[in-house]
Amino acid sequence: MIWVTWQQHRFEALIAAAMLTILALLMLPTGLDMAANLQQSGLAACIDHSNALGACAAIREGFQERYVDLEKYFGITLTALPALVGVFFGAPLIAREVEQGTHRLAWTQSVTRLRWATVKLAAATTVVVLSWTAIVLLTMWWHGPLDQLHGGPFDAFDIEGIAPVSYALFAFGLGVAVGSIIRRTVPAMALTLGLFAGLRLGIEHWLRPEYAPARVITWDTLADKRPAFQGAWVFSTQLMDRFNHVLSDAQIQALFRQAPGGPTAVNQYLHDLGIRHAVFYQPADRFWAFQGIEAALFTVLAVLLLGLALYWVKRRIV
Amino acid sequence: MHKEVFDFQLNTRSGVPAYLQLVQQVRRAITLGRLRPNDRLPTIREVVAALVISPNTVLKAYTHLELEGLVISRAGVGTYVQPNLTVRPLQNHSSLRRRLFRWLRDARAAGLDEDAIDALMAAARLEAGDSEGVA
Amino acid sequence: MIPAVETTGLSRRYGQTWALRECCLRVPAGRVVALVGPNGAGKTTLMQLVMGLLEPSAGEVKVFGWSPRQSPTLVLARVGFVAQDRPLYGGFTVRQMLGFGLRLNPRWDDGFARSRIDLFEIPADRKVSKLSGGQQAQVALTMALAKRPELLLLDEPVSNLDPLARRDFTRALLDAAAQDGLTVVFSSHVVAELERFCDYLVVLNGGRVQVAGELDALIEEHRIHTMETTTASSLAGDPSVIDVSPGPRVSTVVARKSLALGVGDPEARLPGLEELVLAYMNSRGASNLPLPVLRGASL
Repeated sequence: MIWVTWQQHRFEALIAAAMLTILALLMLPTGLDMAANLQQSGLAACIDHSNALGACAAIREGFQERYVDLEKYFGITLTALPALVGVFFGAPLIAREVEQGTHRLAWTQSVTRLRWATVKLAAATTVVVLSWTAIVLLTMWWHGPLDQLHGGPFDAFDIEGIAPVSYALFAFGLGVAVGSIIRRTVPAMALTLGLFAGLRLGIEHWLRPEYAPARVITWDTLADKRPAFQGAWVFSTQLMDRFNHVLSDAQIQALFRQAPGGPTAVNQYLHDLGIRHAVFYQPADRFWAFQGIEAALFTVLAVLLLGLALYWVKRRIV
Repeated sequence: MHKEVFDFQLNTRSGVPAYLQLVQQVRRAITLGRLRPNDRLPTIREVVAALVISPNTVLKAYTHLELEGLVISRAGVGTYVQPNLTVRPLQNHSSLRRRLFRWLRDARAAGLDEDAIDALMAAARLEAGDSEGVA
Repeated sequence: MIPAVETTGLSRRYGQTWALRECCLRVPAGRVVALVGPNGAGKTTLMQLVMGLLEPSAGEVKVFGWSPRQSPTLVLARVGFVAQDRPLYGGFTVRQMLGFGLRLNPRWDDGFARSRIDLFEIPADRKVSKLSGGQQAQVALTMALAKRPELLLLDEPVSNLDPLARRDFTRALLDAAAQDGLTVVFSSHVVAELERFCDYLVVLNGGRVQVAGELDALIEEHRIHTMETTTASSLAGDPSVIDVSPGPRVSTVVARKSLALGVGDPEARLPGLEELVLAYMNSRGASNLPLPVLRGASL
């Protein structure tokens, strides 16, 4: 049955392997370059002095600017990559079989359809988990210098740690479940993409900040420097009044209409009203805890979806 | 022993069931001396391959012939014409033959065509209580 | 003898439509069964129920005594199935297709499979999608036969095949049947070619079984009469009459041989399979099955 799974899907598997190889080939030289530059520019040496100003700040900015595009493009690619697993691996897995009618061949051999599906899903899941672990390890190496620059990996939460593996697993489970229920490959792919994006971004936006009580730091509008948030995850920047209420957009707009012109005057105006900058964040040392929670959440969803797919195959498909 | 194995024919439009056609052909062959005692009939597989019919049909025909005492099936070996069969050779029906030829000649002389002759034969058969070959 | 297929009140519904209704069959083992009926009559549904691909909405089905949904491994190992359109994996080579069969069937006879492929001169390393229709049909049949089944279900297996390919397919099928005492169920909506090689007939119409029985006996039980149309119309409602094809002067009547008016008709002849099937299909309420079922089988 494992041979059969391989035979049927070796085309996708080879394409995936090729794409990953290309990705790795791109990451290796750039990663080595970043690591080398970290040392040579002197950034590694001065980076331990947190909140550093002066010379180190200049080196920092230089490093940042040199790799800002690289960080952005790789970041987007690696963030979006789990979706591809769901769309191109998960959705067609069962949908294509039923759409082409070959399930009437596969499920009338001597193996029950449940066993057929279970082995297929188990094999595919293993491949997804193993390959994604490799991707994540490579990413964590590659992103190392940038993590040092940012003071922690929180900025790269979506592509480092154990959460990305769970995203891939979730995407796969989602694709398989959608494919089993809809049984038409292309619509299943589209729906998987939509649902994955919606859930993944929705959870990131609405649930992740709540995994632990957020911390707040405020500072005066007249202060000449911001606090440093080395490695912390800042997820919300607001204005807060003297009663510790966050100002809504409407209130802010009203204020600015009444405020005098010019930035210094505005800051004075806000200061006089007792309004301060407020930043909601999760401290850097909560990175792994949050990774664990998010990974657990997506893994549980993945398992439920795979179970749903198996149920649908066993009971609901002709 | 004949060198060639007996050849069956099938006429799907005769209205006679397939198994019965096979039975009749074997009977006729035995009567005419084309099949002799101890001759081997084709295996079911051979008949199926030649005529593209159901193996059950052949089995039915052979079973029918066995019940009539014309053939005997030896498991794993084949189906053979009964070795003890005594067939009255057709020559002994020479007087019947002569009378039949004379009747046919008279019928044709009376203006009956072949279809009319067939119809008369069928009617006569029915009257005489022939139970086989309705068409 | 355990029947190859036994169904009791077997029914299957899709939403509000009944694809199969109160189907009662008892097919003895070793038969070559013709399963006929118009498109949409329920032939595919019946086969899928026997195979365990579908679950009954009511009633039950047993294959050699086992339920396909409750004992799937027992039934799957014993039944070969060639679904409509003869599904195969187009991207596989023929050799890989056999490999597929080998790995999913414990009773797979690989030598038999490979010798069949060689016998029909099918190139083992060609992709299935590149084979001709006739070759694909032979591969599909090989897949079903090589697992050494006791029952073979073929859903319109020779549709879209040219006459030569059809003959080859049927011949190969019957040869395998002759060797192993296989029970074969061959469904088709083209009836004429089935007469030659089937010995058991099941007619499905509108989801119900109209006729079921040994072909020779069925044909022997019926007669075709040609009579004046006025006489024929007087027969309306006679339970022995199956169908009347009225002409301007003369009508063709298909009836059971018990028809009073038909006894002693010198012109009476036995119906061919197609004539018999058409007669039943034209007359929805007719059935050769015993009366209690007939009452349930009304329109």
